[in-house]
Amino acid sequence: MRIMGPTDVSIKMKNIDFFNKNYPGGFFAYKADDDGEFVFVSKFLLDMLGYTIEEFKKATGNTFNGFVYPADRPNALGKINAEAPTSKDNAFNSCPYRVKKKDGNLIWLHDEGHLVTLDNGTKLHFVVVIDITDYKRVLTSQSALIACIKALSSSEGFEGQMKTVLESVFTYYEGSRCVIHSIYNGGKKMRNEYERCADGVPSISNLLQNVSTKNFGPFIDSLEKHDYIMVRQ
Amino acid sequence: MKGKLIGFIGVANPTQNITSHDFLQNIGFFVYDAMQKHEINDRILALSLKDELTVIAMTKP
Repeated sequence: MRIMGPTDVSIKMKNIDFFNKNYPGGFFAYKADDDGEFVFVSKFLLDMLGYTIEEFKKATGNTFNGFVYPADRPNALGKINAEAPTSKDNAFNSCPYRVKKKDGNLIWLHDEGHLVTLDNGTKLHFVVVIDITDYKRVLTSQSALIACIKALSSSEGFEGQMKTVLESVFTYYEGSRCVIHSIYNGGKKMRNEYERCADGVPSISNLLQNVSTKNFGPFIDSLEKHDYIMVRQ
Repeated sequence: MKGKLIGFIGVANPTQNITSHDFLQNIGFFVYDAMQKHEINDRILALSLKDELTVIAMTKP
């Protein structure tokens, strides 16, 4: 699809200032080469990520490759390159991937891209992205919950069921350690029943057997009053 | 559970879905049910292998 010459691009981009400031979702364009250098980034995308344009360029190296979270890069780039149409005018490619915000948090974006060939033969990806973080969170949570329910209703032994549940929780939160503790003897004692540690994290299960709950007074008191508690350092 | 704390599930240093407490809360219900079921099964097994009246009679002075 040929739409405009290279020198026209910046002029056209200036003419869409209204959309840039008001369009509900980020959009950007980048070169369809190995680096994927950005030629345009919308204001809404910068606002979504918390960057100024200078900060964005520095954080991403001003390339699409640098924009995508490294763990998602192979899949995302592979899918885009495989799906990006080179001969069909009206074909689009789409994929989800994570990007890092200025504050360090990751968000999920859904990417709808269109590969366009300019008059001089330069190929550009024109892309619209929307934040699907909440949707992904619900989807992931549901999938993990279903995996746990399946495990608990399976004919697998109790030990196996608990290990499967712990594995699902561990995968969902990607923590350093995931545990199931039981409290017994009228709430006076507690012990670690199951533990799942990340690679390189030592087990402390043996240290937490038949322990008096008095040693964890405020912690236990909070658990008595709430469905969950969050401990921050 | 039912006003009585019988255990907890904990995650140390989560790196994703940090604000999704509902997942752990929901898992807690199912784990509680599974633990109760497991305890009842153990109890039934023990009762099927041991005559409680005899045991009581044997342990009482």
